[in-house]
Amino acid sequence: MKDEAIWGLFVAFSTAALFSIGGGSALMPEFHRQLVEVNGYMTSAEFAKSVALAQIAPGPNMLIVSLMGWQVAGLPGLLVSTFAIVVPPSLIAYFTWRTMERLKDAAWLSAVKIGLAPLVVGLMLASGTITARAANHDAIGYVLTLGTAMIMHFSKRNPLWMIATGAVVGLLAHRLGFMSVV
Amino acid sequence: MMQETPPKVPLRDIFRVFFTIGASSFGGGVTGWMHRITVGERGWLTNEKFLAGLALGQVLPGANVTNMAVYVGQVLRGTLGAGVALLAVLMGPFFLVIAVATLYDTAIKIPGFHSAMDGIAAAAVGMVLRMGTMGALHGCRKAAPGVIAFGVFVAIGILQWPLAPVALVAGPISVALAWPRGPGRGGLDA
Repeated sequence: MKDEAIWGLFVAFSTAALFSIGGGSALMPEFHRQLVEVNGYMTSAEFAKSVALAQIAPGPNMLIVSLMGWQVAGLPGLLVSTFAIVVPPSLIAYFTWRTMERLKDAAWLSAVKIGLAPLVVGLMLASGTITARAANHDAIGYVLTLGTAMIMHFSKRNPLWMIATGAVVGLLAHRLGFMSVV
Repeated sequence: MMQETPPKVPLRDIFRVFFTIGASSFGGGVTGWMHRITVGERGWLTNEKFLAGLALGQVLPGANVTNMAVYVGQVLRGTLGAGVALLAVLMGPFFLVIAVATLYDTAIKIPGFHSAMDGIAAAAVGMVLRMGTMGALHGCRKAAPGVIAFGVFVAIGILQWPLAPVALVAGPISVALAWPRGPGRGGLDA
């Protein structure tokens, strides 16, 4: 099972990496589909915890896959997952720059950039919905999610404040019995 | 390829600078910081050269940060530079992630930690959601990109289709719509 899971992690993450326009957040639905639905490596709740942890930890949010790999298969899982998400796209980037340095000002590049933008937006919104369903089991969770999105929209405050607020609300809500423990 | 590059930048410096960038990167905005240090402070490459790399780096798969590390490293010191920069930019976050994961397994036993994490998870989702709405408000005001964004959202977020086929269909359509038509005209007309 363990070896199988490690191979599965490698396939899932290296495939996703090839489509990772817009960074790690845009890949969340694909990670959820692969890890929770297709392979059953983790529960939806465990998935949501990894997402939360990745928000607290610094670094490119791509490293969320390291956390997921850790949850599924410990240290080997972490190493394989990180390798799978980092190395294939880096190799592509390396060879593209080597061979296409002269094409960098080409008009097609800006067309590709403009064209990919709506894709990224759609993926981000999908990430929000999928992870919201994974993380929230009751109304309080959804209120917290939407509240955070609204506050982040209107204020320039450091996101860490929202993380801290989320922690306090979670504690209080559980203590008062408003929120169910999974 | 390297004709405008001033004296060789030592690999040690590349490592140090990219390690710092990686270890202190938090959420987004890392590319901006990388620009300030490599172009502004160090003067390793010109503004144009950095931006040209960024244009391609944003389109290619992979995180912008790692792509840009590969790019800048390669401009400075070729293959070796690219490898060193990539390794350096990931090293800090990588060990932090291990630390977080290890601490998590211990911390989960503390009473109340679980409920606090539930709250954090809910708030974290709000942050992802907000990135999506911000992008939608800024980039998808016109009809065509709006339809594409909505279509991708429904396919992936609601119907839960796999990413690869959706991206392979929606990507080319969207890029075709953005393709410059005729001389002097570019962008979306829809």
